[in-house]
Amino acid sequence: MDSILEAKNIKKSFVRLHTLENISLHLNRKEFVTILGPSGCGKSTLFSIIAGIALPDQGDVIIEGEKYTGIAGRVSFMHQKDLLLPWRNILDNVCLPLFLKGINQRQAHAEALPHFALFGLEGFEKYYPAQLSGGMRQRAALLRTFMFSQDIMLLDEPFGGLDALTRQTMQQWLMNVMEEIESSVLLITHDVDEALLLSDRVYVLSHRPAEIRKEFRVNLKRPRGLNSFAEPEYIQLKESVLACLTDRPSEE
Amino acid sequence: MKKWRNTVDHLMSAGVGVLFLFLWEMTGRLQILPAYLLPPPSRILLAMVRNADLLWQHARITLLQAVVGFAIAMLLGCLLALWLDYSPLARKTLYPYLITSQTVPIIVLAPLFAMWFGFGILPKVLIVVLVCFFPITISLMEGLATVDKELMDLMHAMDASTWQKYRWVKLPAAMPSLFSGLKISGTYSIMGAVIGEWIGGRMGLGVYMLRVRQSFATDQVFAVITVIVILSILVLKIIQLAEEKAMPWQQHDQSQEEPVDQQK
Repeated sequence: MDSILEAKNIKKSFVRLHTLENISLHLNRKEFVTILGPSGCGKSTLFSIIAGIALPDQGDVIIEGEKYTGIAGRVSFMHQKDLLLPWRNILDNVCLPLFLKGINQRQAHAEALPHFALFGLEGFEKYYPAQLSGGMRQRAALLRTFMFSQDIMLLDEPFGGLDALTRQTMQQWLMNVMEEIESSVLLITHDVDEALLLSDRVYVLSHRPAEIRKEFRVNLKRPRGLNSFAEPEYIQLKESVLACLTDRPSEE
Repeated sequence: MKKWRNTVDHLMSAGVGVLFLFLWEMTGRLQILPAYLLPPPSRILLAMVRNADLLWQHARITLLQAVVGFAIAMLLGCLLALWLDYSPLARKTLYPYLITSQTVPIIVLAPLFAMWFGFGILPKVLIVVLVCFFPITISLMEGLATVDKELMDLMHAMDASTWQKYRWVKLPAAMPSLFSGLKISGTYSIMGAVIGEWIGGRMGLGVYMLRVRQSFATDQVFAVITVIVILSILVLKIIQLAEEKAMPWQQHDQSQEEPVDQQK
C-alpha cells in the first residue's frame, strides 16, 4: 500500500468526555477518503490531532513514514467556516499560507494566480470576502488550503454551512477539481451522498467514544454525477452505509 | 428610496437644532432671561467673531496639549494592551490595578499635578494622557481578545509565528474596537486639557475661560465653550477619517450590496 498518511491507535479523552477510542486509519496517495460519522462524535478532534494542533492521549500520526504527532504545519486544514480574513482581498487571502512561509507578495501572487480559473475565482482577485457569495468564499478557502499544502488536505465539513443547492453544485465542482489536482484528501462529513459521490473509501465512525465501525470501498465509476444516484450499486451501498451509521449499540 | 429616507433623517435632525437655537434666541430677544445669565446665540457668535484672534491664540495651546497628550496616550495604551494580551501573567497581575486606577477622579489629581510640575504645559499633557489612556487600552485589549478562535486555530495549523498571528489576524481584527476607543479618547482629550488649564497657567482655553468668567463676560464664556465643542468635533472627525482609511474593507461589510456569485 502506498500510504501517505496514517493515524495509529489514536485515543483522546477530555476531562469528562471520552472522545476517541482507538482510531486507526490511513490515506493513500491521490486518494479521496471520507470519515463519516454522526454529529458531535469527535470527528473534528480527530482532524485537530492529524493536523498537529492537538495532542492525542495515545497513538501516533505518521506522514510519509515520519512521526508528525503534535507537529503543526505539515498538512493543510479547511474548516466549515471559510475563515477568510475580512480585511484582505481574495488574492491576498489565498496567498496567506505563502506569506506565512516568508514568500514575498509578488512571488506569492504569481504562484496563486494560475489556479484562479480552476477554482472559479478568476476576475474576483481584488474583491473582499464580504462581497462574495458563500459558495465562492468556500472555493477561495479551498484554494487557500491548496496553496498551503497540495499533497495532503483535510476538509472538515467544507460545505456544511451552505444551502442545499449550492452544496450540490460545490460537490460536483470539487469532484471536477479533484480530477485536475494531485492531492490526497481526507474529508469529514455527515452527509452520506456527499461521501459516496466524492470518495474512494469511506470510514464510518460510531457515536462517542468514536471508533471505526466499518470501512467501505466505493467502486462507482467516475466521472460521477447526478445520474450516479440512480445506479443500483449506489443505492445498495448507500443502504448499507446508512444501516451501519444508524445502528446504535444495544445499551443505548 | 433609502437615500431619500436618509435625507429626511438629516433634515429632521437639523430642524431640531434650528428650533432649539431659535427658542434660545427668543429668551434673549423677549428678555425672558437677562443676557448676563444666558446670552442668546447671536451675542455668542458676535463675541466669537470679535475675539477670534484671542480665541485662536488660546485654542492653539489647548489643541497642542490635547494632541501631544493623545498621541502619548495612544502609544502607551497600545503598548500596554499588546503586552497584557501577549502575557497572561501580566494580565492577571496588572488588570485589577488598571481598573482600580480608573476609580480615581482625574479632576482631583489636577491640583496635585500643578504642585508637582508647576504651571507649564507638562501637567496639562499628563492629565490628557491619564484621561485618554484608559479607553484606548481597554478597547484594544477587548478587540485582541475577541478574535475568532477557529481563525487562530487555522493560523496555528498553518504554523504561523506569534508575530504573524498579530500582524495578519489579531491586529486587523482589533481595529474596529480600537477605533471606538480612540474616538472616545479623542473627544475627552480637549476636555482633559481644559481641566488642566483651570488649575493655572498663562495660556489656553481653560485659562481664558476663567478670566472672562471673572469679568462676568458670559457671552465670552459661551464663546469659549463653543470653541471647545468645535475642537472636540474636529478631533473626532479626523479620527473617523483615519478609521475609514485604515479599514477600507469596512465599507463593503456595511453596504448591503448583493454578494457576487459565479457558479462554475
